[in-house]
Amino acid sequence: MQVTVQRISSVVMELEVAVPADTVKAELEKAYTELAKKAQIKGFRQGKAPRNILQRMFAPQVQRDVVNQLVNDTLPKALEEKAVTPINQPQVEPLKFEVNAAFQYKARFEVQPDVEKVDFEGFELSRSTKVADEKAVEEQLAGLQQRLVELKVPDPARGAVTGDVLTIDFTVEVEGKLRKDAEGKGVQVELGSSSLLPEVDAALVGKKVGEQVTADITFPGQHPQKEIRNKLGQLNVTLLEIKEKVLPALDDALAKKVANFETLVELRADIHTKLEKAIKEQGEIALAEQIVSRLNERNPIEVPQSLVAQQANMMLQEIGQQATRARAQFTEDQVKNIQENVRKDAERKVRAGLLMAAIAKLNGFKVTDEDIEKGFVELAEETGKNVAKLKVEYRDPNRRNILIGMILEDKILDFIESKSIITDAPADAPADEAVAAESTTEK
Amino acid sequence: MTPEQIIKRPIVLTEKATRLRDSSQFVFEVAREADKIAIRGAIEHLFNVKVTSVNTSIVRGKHRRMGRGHAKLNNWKKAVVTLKQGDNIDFFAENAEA
Repeated sequence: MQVTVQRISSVVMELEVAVPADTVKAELEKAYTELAKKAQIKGFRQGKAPRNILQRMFAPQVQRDVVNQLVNDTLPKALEEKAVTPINQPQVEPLKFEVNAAFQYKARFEVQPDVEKVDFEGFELSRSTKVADEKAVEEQLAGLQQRLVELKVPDPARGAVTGDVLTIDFTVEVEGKLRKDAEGKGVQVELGSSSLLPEVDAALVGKKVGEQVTADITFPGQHPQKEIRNKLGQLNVTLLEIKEKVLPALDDALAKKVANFETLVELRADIHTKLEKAIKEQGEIALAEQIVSRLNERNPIEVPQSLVAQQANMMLQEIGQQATRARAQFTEDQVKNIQENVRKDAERKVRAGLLMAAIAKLNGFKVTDEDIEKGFVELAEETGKNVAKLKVEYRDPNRRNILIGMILEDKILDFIESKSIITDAPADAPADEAVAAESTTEK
Repeated sequence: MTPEQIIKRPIVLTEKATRLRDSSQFVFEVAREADKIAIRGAIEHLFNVKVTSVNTSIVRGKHRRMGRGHAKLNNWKKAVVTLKQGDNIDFFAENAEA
């Protein structure tokens, strides 16, 4: 078996393999013997058909099989001999096949590029200096209050005001005719929340329980029912009940209700730490994103297309799932656009991944048991499971490798960070925005 | 009758015909009314060989059933032609692959 290697580019390789005539012949022989036992040909009992007849009838098929067989047998050996590892399925192209001659074929595949030098020092990165301030905490608390709002009948009784939740009966008239399909009894609406037509909202303000209101309305141009669009009509409303929204007081009771804290102070502290953590994480992600784009700019190495396709597929799948969950519909152009962007993004990510792997190799980074131990502790904090349980979960070598990969990536990112010039971005211009703008303009 | 009318088809793909070919005997389906002399002439004319003997037999048509009905295939005449040593009829024109 003769193997010649040709390097077409830094990521594409071509092997030319020649299989000696003897092997070809033996393989053919084997194929025909096998076939003779099984072939059913009219005029012959099974297994009795002579060789020349088999050859006449099955030659192309047998040759195809033999070629496949030979490639399957020799390609792994050839790869091993030349010590190359393809990262995609090799494209095999038989050159010629003759019965009494050596068989040659070409196999083309992609390999990991050899990255000899990676330029990763002295990146200028900007770090967000955003912190969790009182305002953000207040916002969160206000959100909590809104969620825990209570409905109460106002005492003493008063007219409806914007923001109240009303219970109403209503009938609709279109151009003087009562419409049976547009009645409502005991419907709850929030005044001023645009769940009603604005004319009705206006007419209801200040009215008391039991009062009847008639509002002249014009149906909007985009009304779901075509025949009443832009027509004049009347809405007769009977006001049954008025309830006002009462925000719960910001006190210890609220804290208890929300998360079983004893005091409001504790709740505030908890929100603060959570915010702090979220912001810090965001900052880290933004920084990593910057590193990725800097790596890409400085090291325009060639990337194996198969890896890019893999990454892009994964990302597209994720997007697809999100889209179905959100019930989003895309036009064809949008889909194309998304695919294009995802592809570019995937290429960036793959390139950065390769570069990081190269950095790790060049600098002799390794994940020690100690690191894994630390990783488990961190993971335990994040997920709230205990360390021993996690260790059992990660006994599976595949998952373990993923974990090791993550730890290694963190290490490399830290390393690059330590070699970079980091400036603090002002708090009101968050760093991640700058990165987002950059990644869209790039290339 | 022309030679083409006498010799209807060679019978190639059967175990027996294959075996006989090794001893220079070739099997044909021939016209019912052709006699041995006519067959000999036709073969010699068509394939440019020397025939030493002709054996013929009438093959009884098989009964075929089609559900409830049944039918009988036509009887036909088979001729086994022995050629002079060394002569050959190559049905596969080209000599196939090794």
